[in-house]
Amino acid sequence: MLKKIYGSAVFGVEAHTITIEVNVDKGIGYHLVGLPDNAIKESNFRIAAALQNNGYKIPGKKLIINMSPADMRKEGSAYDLPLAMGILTASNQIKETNIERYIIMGELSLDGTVQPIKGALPIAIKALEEGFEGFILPNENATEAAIVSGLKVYGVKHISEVIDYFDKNTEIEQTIVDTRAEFQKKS
Amino acid sequence: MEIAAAGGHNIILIGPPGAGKTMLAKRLPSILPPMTLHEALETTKIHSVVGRIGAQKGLIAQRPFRSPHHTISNVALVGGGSYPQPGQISLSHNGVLFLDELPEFKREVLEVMRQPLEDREVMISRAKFTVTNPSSFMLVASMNPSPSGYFNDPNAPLMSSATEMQRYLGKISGPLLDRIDIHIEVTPVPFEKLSDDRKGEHSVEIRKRVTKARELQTKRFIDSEVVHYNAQMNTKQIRKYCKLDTASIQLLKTAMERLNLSARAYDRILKVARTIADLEGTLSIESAHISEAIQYRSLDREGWLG
Repeated sequence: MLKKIYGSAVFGVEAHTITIEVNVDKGIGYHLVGLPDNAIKESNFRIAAALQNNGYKIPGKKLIINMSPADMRKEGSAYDLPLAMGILTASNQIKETNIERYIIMGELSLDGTVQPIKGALPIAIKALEEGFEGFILPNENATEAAIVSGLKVYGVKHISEVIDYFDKNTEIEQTIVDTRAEFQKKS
Repeated sequence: MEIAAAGGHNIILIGPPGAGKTMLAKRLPSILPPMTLHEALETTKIHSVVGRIGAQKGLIAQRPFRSPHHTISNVALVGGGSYPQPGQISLSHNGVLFLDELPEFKREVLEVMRQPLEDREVMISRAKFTVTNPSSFMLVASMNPSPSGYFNDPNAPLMSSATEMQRYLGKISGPLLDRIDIHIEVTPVPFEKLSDDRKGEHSVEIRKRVTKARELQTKRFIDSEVVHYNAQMNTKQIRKYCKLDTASIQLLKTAMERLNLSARAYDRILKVARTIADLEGTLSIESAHISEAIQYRSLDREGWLG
């Protein structure tokens, strides 16, 4: 079964949307393609531990994951969360209601806590431009991304919040910032 | 300093040690006008890319003030690396980049700044892609006139020889100096002034004047997307907004011939004169403004080294 999750990569000060395609097939193996750097290659260990500590698992099947566009080098550890969501949804361990309408980014700790990322604001700007409905990202970066109005920004602390949002339709509190008022206050 | 802050002009402070150059530069942010919302968004974007926005902090509303140590590499200054990160010049976009002890920087590092100072953006090319980062900043540099620190000061302890001084000043190349609009000699403060209890003008007052002049500029450039203040004007805009009367043209012509100024220096004198006129609130540039602006290019004068 094939599932597509959307993430984002920052080049310079602009972001590009990255499509993470997860394909689950009969056989054994884990293949991650699309020019990932070493941090992304190490992610399967983090994802395995994070999922296992929360009652899910990486399926014992053949997993092929492509990060498209495949000729652009991807770097950083911020793809842990979308990769994990891709694996869970493609192996039917959870339901996915409209997961393709969101950009998801975050680094995972071994216990499932979501760690901060870099470049949240350019990613949010690009997400709005491309018509995504929401942006799921680490809680520490939520205020940055919420500067962009017109995009629903969901800051999460733990992967279980994201899983429950898609699987059981629980709510995540949106971060809303009135940019103009903040600016008036600060300057 | 007020003129530099009002128009966003690059400025170099030259003087003996202890004259107060670094102190002046560090106080500059207190008289800079506040950022517009658009500028704040641009700055926040760049800081977000390097992860400098602290947890829960949101929009950056203060102008960035970056002062890198002189051992910085040219990649760290301009940006780059195999996964291109913004450099110090992009981090000081819409703010101030302070280079203390300018001759101590590696010559190569100073040279890579030439293009971004002119274009106000830096294009980093790698084998597979090109990335353009904005870098519209105000450059403040400080330096001693000679390796020993003193020059033409009869009370100075030690004097370097003329060749040593030439070599020291020659570290700053002509093209780089050309791009600096205002050259200020900072003289040591005599004891009476140091111990004087009377306070100088409060920075809040200076900031008010600077903000008023900056508002004039924002109104002037309201149609342009990239230009927000005088120092960013391109040649077409200079021709449109810096018209001169006959007296000023004559003055400028004499100055250019006598001091052997380049066309770039000509443009910059006009920009500084435009800012001086804005600070006074006059609509057109007069010869008094031009002569003041020429005076601030002291390093271009041939006889400066004696």
